[in-house]
Amino acid sequence: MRLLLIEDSDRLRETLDRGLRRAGYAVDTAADGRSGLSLAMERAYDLIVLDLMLPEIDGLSVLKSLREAGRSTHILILSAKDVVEDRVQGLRLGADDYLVKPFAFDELCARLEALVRRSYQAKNPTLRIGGLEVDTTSRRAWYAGREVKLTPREYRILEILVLRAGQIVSRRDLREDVNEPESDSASNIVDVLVFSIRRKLQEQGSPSLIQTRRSQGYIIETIETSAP
Amino acid sequence: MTSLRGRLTLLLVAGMGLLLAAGSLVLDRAITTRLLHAFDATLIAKAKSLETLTEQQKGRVWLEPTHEVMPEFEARLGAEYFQLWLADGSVLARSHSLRSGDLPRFGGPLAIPVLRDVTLPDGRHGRLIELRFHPRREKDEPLPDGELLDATLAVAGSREELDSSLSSLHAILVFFVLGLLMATAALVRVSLRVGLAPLNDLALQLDSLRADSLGQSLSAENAGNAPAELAPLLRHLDGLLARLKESFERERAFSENLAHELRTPLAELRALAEVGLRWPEEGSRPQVLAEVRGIALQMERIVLNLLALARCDGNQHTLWTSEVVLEAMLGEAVERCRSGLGREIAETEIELRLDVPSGLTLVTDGEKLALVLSNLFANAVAHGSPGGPVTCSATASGGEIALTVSNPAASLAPEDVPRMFDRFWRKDASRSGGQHAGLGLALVSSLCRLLKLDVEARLTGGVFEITLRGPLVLKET
Repeated sequence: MRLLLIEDSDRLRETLDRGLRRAGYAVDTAADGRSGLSLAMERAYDLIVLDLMLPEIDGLSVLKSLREAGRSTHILILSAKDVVEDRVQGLRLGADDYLVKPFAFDELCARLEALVRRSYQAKNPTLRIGGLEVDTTSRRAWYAGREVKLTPREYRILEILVLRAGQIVSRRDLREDVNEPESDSASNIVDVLVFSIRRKLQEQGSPSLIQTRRSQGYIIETIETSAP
Repeated sequence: MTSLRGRLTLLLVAGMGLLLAAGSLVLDRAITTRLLHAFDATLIAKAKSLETLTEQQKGRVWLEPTHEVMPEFEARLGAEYFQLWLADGSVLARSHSLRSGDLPRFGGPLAIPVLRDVTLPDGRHGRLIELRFHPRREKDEPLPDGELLDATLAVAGSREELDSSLSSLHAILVFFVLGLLMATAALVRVSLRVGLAPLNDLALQLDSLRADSLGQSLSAENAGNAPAELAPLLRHLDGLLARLKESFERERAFSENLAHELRTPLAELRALAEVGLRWPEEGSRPQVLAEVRGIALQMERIVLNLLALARCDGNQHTLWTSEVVLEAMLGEAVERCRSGLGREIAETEIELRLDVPSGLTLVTDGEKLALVLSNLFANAVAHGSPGGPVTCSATASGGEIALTVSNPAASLAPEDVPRMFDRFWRKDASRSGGQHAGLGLALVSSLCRLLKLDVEARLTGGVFEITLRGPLVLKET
């Protein structure tokens, strides 16, 4: 999942960058509204975490510009402004969520996960395809009730493929989603990770769920999502 | 609480009562006098008639019969009385109504009637006229012993009818006055209710005011229906509301700014702690602790500045006045600034310059003045243009010191200058960076007020200057 964090506080930006990367997001950061807006217009992000009081261009103007440009990226406002009017204004201008500082890091992650699920119309945090079960909250996966031990990057690849089941996901997208956007395009990091996931799934008795589409990417063919 | 309506009613009714009472007394006195005069005139007329009927001839005085011409002196209930005395005091005649009784005699002067209230022989309250006169005589009648004879006549009548009329008159006047007073009171109440209705309307309007409706203009809203007398009151109330609104807005802005200044470091601290707890291997411990220390120092600065401001506001600071050598104190303040803001000074290549005459000694609270100057230096370093000098100069004249801290400030606009001493004011509306919360110059302003120093800020040709002036100079050498 690609996430853009626009926050002017150096300490908070760096800490959240570190935490969100560890939580599995591919994070880009911006310290002011102008550079944040520029990044958001240039690249496709799944999520944007946006402060309101920003140098150069304030957060509400960034939000307005993005919506006016037709960008539907889910945006979570993270602000010290806590009065109802500010929250209402932010949500009315097109934000998807609003979190007031100070906040619990876990709550921020939970809200971001909810926004990700909303992106893929998946209301249930547990995704199921055949015998494969992916819990987007605990970031763990099981096959036929047995846990598939995955590294954070392997989990991210599997989650993206499950969330976009039925769609071909390019290697480039996967590379960016696992936070390797700057690596050489010839890098086979994604292939290595997919190979590892396949091996771990097979160890738990899974058939080959992840299909390779030559020169295009990877796909999980079928999806079956059910409520617990 | 005193009621305006009650006081006005009381004053108007009491005033009206006094006027009515005075008017009634005058009226009563006039009517009484007139009736008494009429009564007395009747008595005098009767006395004159009796005088006419009294004659003297050949040294004798007699009274012609009266029962036919003046039947009121006949003996019957309610009759009138007369008695005629000769000069020697012997009774010449008396009315039948007197029978053998006597009327009182006062012995008044000749030809001048004397009128008195008396008790009549039958016990009734009456009025008496006494008239001493020379009885009538023929023109050619010689005077006995060459002198005129004189006689004294007293005529009396009951004044019961007069007193009854006067009592009725008094009763009518009292009822009239009381009735008028009651009618006046009712009229005054109604008039005041109608007249003071705009005040009630205004009270209701004021009662309905809320913190979010302080911006309305009472003058404009009541322009068509408020009486002219209320116009000054409405103008003053509008002024008060405007000041209240401004105060509320300042308070709200202060709270919001304070919340922001504290929420952001708290968010940093919490995120740092929660990310560190979740992934302990992430980040080195000294690095995290250094971050925590930086956040704590930032919050400490805000809290200490707010406390200092609150103490200034509450006059809780005590001035410890002593002799302070200005050059030495400024040197120390500059050194503290260099050590505290060394990194910023190095990054911006700002040069700190002192232009202070040596041997200038002030009498002031040196610690607080040093705090003022440290804040001014820190402000100049933080907001001055990179590479530009920060200069502190001092001049003394007539026992007054003028201390000026100046720095180039290309980003400042003239409209920023009046707001620079507001609490939490920052040029950058995003309030980025936690080093300066916007309290330094507010603290400078408060401390200078305590030190009795005038503060003046100005922006001239891209150079920002703050000058402190006050009578602090003890000696110049």
